[in-house]
Amino acid sequence: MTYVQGKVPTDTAIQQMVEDELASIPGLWSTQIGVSVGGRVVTLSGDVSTLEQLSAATAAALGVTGVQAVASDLQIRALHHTPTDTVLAEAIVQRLAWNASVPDGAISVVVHEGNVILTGEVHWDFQRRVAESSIRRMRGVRWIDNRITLTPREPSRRIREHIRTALSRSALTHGCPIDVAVADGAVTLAGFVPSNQAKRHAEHIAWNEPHVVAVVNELEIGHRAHEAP
Amino acid sequence: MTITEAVGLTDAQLKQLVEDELRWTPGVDAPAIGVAVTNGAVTLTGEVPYYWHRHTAAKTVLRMRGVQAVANEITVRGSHDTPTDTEIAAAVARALSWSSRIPTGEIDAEVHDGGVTLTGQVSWDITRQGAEREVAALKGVRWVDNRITLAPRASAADTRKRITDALERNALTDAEAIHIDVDGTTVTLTGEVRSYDAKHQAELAAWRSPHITQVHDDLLIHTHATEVKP
Repeated sequence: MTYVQGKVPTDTAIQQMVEDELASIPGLWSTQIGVSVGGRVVTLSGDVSTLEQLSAATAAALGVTGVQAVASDLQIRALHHTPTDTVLAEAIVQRLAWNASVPDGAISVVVHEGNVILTGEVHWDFQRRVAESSIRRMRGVRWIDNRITLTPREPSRRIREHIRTALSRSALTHGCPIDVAVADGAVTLAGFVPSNQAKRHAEHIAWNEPHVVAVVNELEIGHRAHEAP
Repeated sequence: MTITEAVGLTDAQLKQLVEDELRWTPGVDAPAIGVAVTNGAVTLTGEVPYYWHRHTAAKTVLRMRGVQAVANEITVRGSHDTPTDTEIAAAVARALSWSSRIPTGEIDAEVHDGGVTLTGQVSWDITRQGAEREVAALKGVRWVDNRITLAPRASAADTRKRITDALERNALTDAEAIHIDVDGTTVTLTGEVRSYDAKHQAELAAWRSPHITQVHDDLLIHTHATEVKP
C-alpha cells in the first residue's frame, strides 16, 4: 500500500505558524527566538531563561501542523540568582525522593555548573522519563543528561502482538498504519501517524511492553493516501 | 449517542479493554482498581497508595479509543511510609519554590490530613495547573483542591479569532469542528474532537489568550470525529 503525506503546509506557512505559536506561550520572550524551516524541519535559535522554557518552545513547535522534526539551538541565559551546585544537587535528591513515580534510592545525581547527569537503574521507561521531566522544571537546571538504564528484561515472542493491541486501544494511534518490527527485544516503529503527539504516544506505548529493551521511532507525520483531504 | 454505539463495542467488551489497558500500563496499580461500564460510561473505583496513581489511572483510560468520560471514584489510602502533614507541607513548599514556572511566593498551601488546598493569585492558568501538578506528584498527598485565582483581565475584540488561529496551528485540533463562543473574558468550547489529547490541547489554546479568565470545555470526545489534518 502506498501512503502520501496529505496536504502539507509550505515551509513558509510552517515558519509563520511556529512563530505565532511561540508568541502565544505565556512567559516566553518569543522575539528573542529565531525560527527557520527547511523541508518541514524547524530550527529554533536564540536565548531563553530556563530549561523548562526551552522544552516548552520545542514542544510547541513540534505540535504545529505539518512539522516533521525540531532542531533546538536554543541557549539558556545565566540566572541572576543561580543556586550553587551543592544546593541544587540536594534539592534534586529531595525532589526525586518525594516523587510518587520514582523508585526510592534508584537514581544517582551529579551536578556540574547546573548541568545534571542522572544515572541508575529503574524497572520502567516512564520512571526515567518522570525523573527527568520533574527536574527539567527546576530553577537553575541548565541541562539534563539522562543515563538511567532499565533492569534486564526477559525475552518474549509476543512483544509485537502486545504492542499492536495496545496501539489499537489508544485514541491517538488506533487505525494508523504503524509497522511494529521486533529484533532481540528491540522494537522499531515505522509508518504514519497524524501528529507528533501521536508519534510520541506510540513510542511510550511500545516502552510499556515489559520485555522491550529498545525503541526506535521511525514514524512519520502524514496520512494514508485515501485519507488525504 | 453512547460511546459503545460510537465504536461498536458492548459494555462488556469495553470493560475488558479498559482492564487490559490498566494492566498494560506501568505506574497504575491495576489489581487494586475496579472498572464498571454502563452505557459506555467508565467508572473507576478502589484504593491506591498515591494520589498520582489515581490521576494516572483516569488519564490512561481517557486516552483510550471510544472513551468519552471517566468517573474517578478511586481513593488514596496512603502507604506504609505516609509522611505527616508537617512533612508534606515542607515538601509542597520546596516543590513550589524550586519550580521554574511558578513565581516565588504567590501561592500558599494548606495541608490537612494529606489533603492540600492551594490558594493565591497568578497571571496565567498554566501556572496554577503547574502548581497543582507539582503537588499531585508528591508522596503522601491524598487530594488537591486548587483554589488559585487568575489576576483580572480586560476583554479584547479579537479573542475568538486568536483562539481559532491557535486551533488551526495545532496538529491535533480541527478548528472547523470546534465552536468557540466568547462572552467577555469567558470562552466556551463545544463540538467534537477525536481524543482526550485533542480536547486538552484545545483547552490549553484557549487559556493561552491573555484576555480569558474562564474556559468552559464542553467538547465531546468522539473517536470517529473528523480526521485531523495531516
